[in-house]
Amino acid sequence: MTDPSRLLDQTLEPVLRSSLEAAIAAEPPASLRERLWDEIALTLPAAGVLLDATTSSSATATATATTAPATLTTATTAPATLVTATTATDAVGLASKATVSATTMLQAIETTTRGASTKAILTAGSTTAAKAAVAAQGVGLGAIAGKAVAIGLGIGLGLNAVAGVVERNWETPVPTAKSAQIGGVPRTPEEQVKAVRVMTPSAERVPMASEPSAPTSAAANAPAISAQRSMSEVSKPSSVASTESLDEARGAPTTDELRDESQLLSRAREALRDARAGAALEFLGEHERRYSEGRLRQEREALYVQALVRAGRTTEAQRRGKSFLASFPMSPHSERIRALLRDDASSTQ
Amino acid sequence: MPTLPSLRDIYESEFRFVWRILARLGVREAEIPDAMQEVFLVVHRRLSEFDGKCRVSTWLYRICFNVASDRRRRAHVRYEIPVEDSDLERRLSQDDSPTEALATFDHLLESMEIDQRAVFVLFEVEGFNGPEIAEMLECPLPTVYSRLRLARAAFARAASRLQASMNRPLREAAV
Repeated sequence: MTDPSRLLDQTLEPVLRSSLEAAIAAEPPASLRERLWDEIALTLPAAGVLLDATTSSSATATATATTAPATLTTATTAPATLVTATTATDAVGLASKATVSATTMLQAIETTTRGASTKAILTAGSTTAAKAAVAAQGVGLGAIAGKAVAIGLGIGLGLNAVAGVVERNWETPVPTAKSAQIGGVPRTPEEQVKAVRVMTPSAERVPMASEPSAPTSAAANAPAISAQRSMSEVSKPSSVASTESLDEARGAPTTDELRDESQLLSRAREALRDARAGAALEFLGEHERRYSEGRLRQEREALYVQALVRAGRTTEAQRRGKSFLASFPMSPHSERIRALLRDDASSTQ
Repeated sequence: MPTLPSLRDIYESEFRFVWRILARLGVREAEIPDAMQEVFLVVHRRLSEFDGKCRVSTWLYRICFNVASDRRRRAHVRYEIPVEDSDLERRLSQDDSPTEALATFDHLLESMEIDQRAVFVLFEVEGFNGPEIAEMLECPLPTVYSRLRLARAAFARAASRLQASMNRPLREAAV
């Protein structure tokens, strides 16, 4: 059995030939490669958790009083529980409880809504206390469709209270495709990869951990940490982190601040995409001035290195990149920063 | 033991392939980045399962195919705005750029069943041979050939329909 000759090698109507040739010549947009990797890198810490769900330990989440609650539980070395709920239910009134084992993890939720405000809750916790109380403050970002900010609090191992905020594309309209995901429709495993968009019907509870759980009122004002909050921070206890939980529980950074952080970085990212490294650096500088130790500082630093490289400020890029790598060797951004520094070094030799 | 490629390695080497495959499997352009993200996150999750017994592109193709099929299914349920011949021909008459030629191609692909379309694209566009396609699609070689035959027939039919509809308005315009 042998292959037939290819259509391209046959006599074809001109219109067919040109269409076939166009398909053969089709190339992805030049800017997409890098941009998409950025997005994937952002999702990875969350995905790492979500995707390995059900493998090891257990996580539980209970959401009540919602018409369309969705629960996602995950577990890896650092299990996390994600609870999302749609409709206008008051998130704080959700009485969500989450018990998780192992180390603290972070999660982000991206939910979209059609009209009603979306409330999303995210929790992450740890074995030790095994009690994580969660509250979410949904932030409706538009009358028709908005992205909800998911805020949660996890207390674990004296590390971080972790929560997620979807940090990208605040201003852009929500595609229908995403909105359609809201109703708790079960989707394919592939879909679930999209960490923050995953929902399963609330009826599908994941096996519960044996640990008891109890809500803590402090969680009500839980501020959020970005999705980019990396595993390295989690795995690397620091005094900052350990005190953060309490501070955060009392409402130190507000959602407004978080949104502001996120917007600054979004603008920087857009500027980078448009090859305006100078403008990107301004936004990043602004972020650094206002949120030096902000929730999204890892993301900022990663963008910073990228922008400096683009701007041809090699020395600074190297300095900043190395300092980032020293602080966060295991960050999801580290690999990319290493690559940037490598490329940068080789191109200037 | 051979070391597994990292996600980044696969991303760098297969980015173009994934984009092309998804695009020709009917994922709409605006949704391609999302779909690609899905694909690479599946890769990330399943990387440890990749045993090196098949080529990365084979393994990747299956993931792309699943992602694209799933999206098509959902798109059908949700909303599907088929490109009518008349729309296409209106655009064609104004523009014979590569973009439009590609739109024509995708339009013609729409005439095929997804399995035929997969074979057609892999063979005619990506240049894989029959046995390679059989491996990718996990089907016997004769099936590959029969799907290719059906795909070509559908392609030819759709093409003549398109030609016919292109001629009609020209005549009308002349009147």
